[in-house]
Amino acid sequence: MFKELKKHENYKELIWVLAKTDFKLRYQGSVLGYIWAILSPLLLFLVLNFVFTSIFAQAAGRGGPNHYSLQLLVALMLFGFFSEGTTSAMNSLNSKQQLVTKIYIPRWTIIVASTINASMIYIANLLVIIAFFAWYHFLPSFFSFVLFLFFSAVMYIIIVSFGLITAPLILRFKDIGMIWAALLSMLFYATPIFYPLTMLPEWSHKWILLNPVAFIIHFTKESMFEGHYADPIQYALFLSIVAAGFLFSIWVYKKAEPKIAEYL
Amino acid sequence: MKNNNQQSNKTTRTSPPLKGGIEGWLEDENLEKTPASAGVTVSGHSCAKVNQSVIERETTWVEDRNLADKKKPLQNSKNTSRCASTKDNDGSSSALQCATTDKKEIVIKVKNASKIFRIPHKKIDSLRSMFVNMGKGISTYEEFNALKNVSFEVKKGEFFGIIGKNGSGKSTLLKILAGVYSQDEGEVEINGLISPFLELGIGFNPELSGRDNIYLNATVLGLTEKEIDEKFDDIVKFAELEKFIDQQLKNYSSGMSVRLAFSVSIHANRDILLMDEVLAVGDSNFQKKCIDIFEGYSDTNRTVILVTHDIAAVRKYCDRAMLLHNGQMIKIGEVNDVCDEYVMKNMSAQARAELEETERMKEKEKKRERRIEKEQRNKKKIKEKNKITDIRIFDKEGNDLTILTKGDSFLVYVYVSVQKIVADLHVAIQIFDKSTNQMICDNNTARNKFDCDWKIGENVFVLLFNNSMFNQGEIYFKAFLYFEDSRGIIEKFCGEKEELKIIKVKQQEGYGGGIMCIEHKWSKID
Repeated sequence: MFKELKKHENYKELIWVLAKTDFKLRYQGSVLGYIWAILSPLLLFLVLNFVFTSIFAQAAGRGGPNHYSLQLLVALMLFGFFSEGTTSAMNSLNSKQQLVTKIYIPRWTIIVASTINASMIYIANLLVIIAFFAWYHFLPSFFSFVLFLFFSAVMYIIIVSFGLITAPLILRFKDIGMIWAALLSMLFYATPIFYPLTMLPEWSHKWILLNPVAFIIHFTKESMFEGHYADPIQYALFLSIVAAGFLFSIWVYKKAEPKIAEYL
Repeated sequence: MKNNNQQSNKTTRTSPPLKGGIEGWLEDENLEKTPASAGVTVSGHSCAKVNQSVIERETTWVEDRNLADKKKPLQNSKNTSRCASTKDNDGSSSALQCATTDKKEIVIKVKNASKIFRIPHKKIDSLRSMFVNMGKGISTYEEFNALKNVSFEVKKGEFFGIIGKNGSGKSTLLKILAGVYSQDEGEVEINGLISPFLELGIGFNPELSGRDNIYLNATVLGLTEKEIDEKFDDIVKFAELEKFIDQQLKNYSSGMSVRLAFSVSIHANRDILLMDEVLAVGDSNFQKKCIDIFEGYSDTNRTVILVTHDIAAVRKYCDRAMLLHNGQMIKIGEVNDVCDEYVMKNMSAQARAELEETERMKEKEKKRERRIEKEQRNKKKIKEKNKITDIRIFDKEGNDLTILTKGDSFLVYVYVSVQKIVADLHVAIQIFDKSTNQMICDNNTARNKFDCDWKIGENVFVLLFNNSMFNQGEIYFKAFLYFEDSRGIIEKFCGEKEELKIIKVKQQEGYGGGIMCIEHKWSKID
C-alpha cells in the first residue's frame, strides 16, 4: 500500500492518456483517419503554392525567394502548428469540464495534453517536409536545421504559454474563442508565410519581428534557404519576449487555477 | 537525515514554483525522484502561510519520530517511506516523521474553512459584456457564503458522514476536500491520497472502447500505466465485461457502464474516499455492493467520507458524522445524535410541531406517572401510618353493648391511631345485616361535615345512634378510614385487619319478620 502512495503523481501518464484520447476521438469518425491530420495542411499548401508560385515566378529569377514552395511549406507547417496548438490549448479546459469539476487533477496537465496532439501532427508534418526536401533535392545546412528544431521547441513553449493564459480565461469569457479565430487569420497575413518579409516596407520589419511567431517563421526561412541568420541582439530580444510571456502565463495560470472550477 | 537528495515531497495543490522553470515544472522529474508524497496541502490564497504551518507541524513530528524509531524499529522503514521532508529556508533539508504510530493519525484536518461564491446579478461571460459593463461602471454581485468557518478532523480508518439539506454546503465541502475548489479562508490539510467518488466514470467517453475508458478513468484517478496493466484483468472481471471490453462504451447498457466505472474506482485503491451521493445512483443491489466494499475499506484502515442525506445509510455505516446547515457546522460527533438533529432540522414546521407535541405529551405522561408513583408511595405511607385499632359499641350507660333492643340508643367508638396527619382523611362507619351482608346504613365524617381535627396519636370518634329500629337477627359494624386521591379515587383502609363488631338484636314482641321495625299505625278510610 505504501508503494502505491509514492506513485500518485502520475502527471506523465495523465498527459499521455489524455492526449491519446484526444487523438483517437478526433480522427475516429473520418474515413482517412490519422492521414487527414497531415493531409489538411498539405491541401492548403498545394493551393497556396499554385497561386503564389505563379505570382512569384518571375521574382524568383530576379533575386526573389529561393525554393519558394519549400519556404511556403515550412512556414505553413510552423504556422499550422501554432494555430492548431493554441486553439486546442485554449479550448482544453472548456472541453474537459468533467475533469475539472468532478475531480482534482493538476489542470495544467489537461492544457499540456491538448498541445501534444498538435505536436504529433507537427512531427508527422516534418516527415512530409523531409519528403518534399528530397523531392526538390534540397539539403539545408546542418546548423540551420538545428536552429529549426530549436525554433520548433520555442514554438511549443509559446503554444503552452498561450494555453495557460487563455484556457482558464475562456471559461469566463466565452468570446475569446471567436476573437482568437479572427486574430489568427489576421496573424496569418501579418506573418511572412507566403511572402518574404523583404517585400514589406523596411520600417515595418522590426515591428513584425517583435511577434515571436513571425520571428520564428521568418528566420527559419532565412536560415534554411538564404543562409542568413539573425544577429545576437535580435535573438536576445526574441528569447526574452518568449521567456517573459512564459513566466507571465505561469503567473496568470497560478492566479486563475484555484478558481477554475467555479468558472464552469 | 540531512540528505540533499531527499527533496521536498510535500506537494501543494497550487501549481509548482516558478523557479523550477520549464524543466522543473512541465516535466515531473522532481516529482518522480521524490519519495512518498504522503502529504497534500491545499492552500488558500497564500502559499506561505500553509508552508509555515507545514514546517511547524513537522517540527513537532521530530520528537514523535525519535520515539517511534526507538520503539518500533521494524515499522521504521514503513514510516520513513511515508515521511515528509521539507527544505528549510536556509536550504538544509530535514526529513521528519509524519505519522505517529501509536494513536490513530489524523488524515483530514479542516480548520476554519470558508467558501464564498460571488453570484453576479448580471452574468458577464464574454469580453464584450465586460467592456459594456465597464462602460456602465458597475458590476454588482451577491455573495453566497457556502461554507462558514467549518472545522473538523477525520482520523484514519473512520467512516465519516456529512449530512445536511440541499444547499447546506456539503458538496462544496467535499469539493474542497477533493481539491476541485479552493477555500477562501482557513486551512485544509490532507494526509494521504484521495479518491473522489463525486461521480463515477470521470472522463468516460462513449466513443472509446471499454478498454480505453478503463485506462482513461484509472489514470484520472491517479494510477500509473503499469498499475493499470496489472489490475486490468481484475477490473474487467469485477465488472463482468470480459466479452465486451473492446466494444465502444456507447454500445454498453447503462448498467454495464456503471459497473465498469465502479470497478475502476474501487481498484484505484486510495486511502481516502470521498463519496457524494454516489449511492443515490444505481439500483439497490448496486448500492449494497458499494456499501459493502466501502465498509471493507474502513476495515483496511482506509478513510471513507460519505456525503448524503440518506440518514439510514449514515446511521448504519458511519462511525461519526457531521451536520451542516446553511454552510455552518451545527453538530459533530456521535452518529445518532447528529442524525436526530438533522431529522429535526429537516422536518416541515407542522411535522416538527407534531413531534414537539408528542414529545410534550410524553413528558406530561411521564410527569403524571411520576406523580402517581409518588402518590402511591404516599398512599402506602398514609395507610401504614394511620389505622383503626378498635371499634367498640356502648350503650347509654357506657357498658359494652352485646344485645340491642328496639328503642335503645347506642354509641359506636372508633379508635384511630394517627402518625401522619392527612387533611382529607375521613372516618366512615357502616352497619350491615349479617345474614344478607346488606348495608343498612352508611355514615361518614365527610358527608356529615364533621371536622375530624386529626392529632398525632390516638383519636377516638364517637357516633351516637338514637332509638334503634332493628327488629331481629344480627348486625355488624364496619369502620374504615378513607381519603380521595388526586384522580378522585377513594382509598379505603382500616388497619391491619378489618375490624368488625357483631351485635345481636333482640326479637321484638308484636313484630313479624324483617330486620327493621319502623314506627307504624293502622287505620281505615270509610
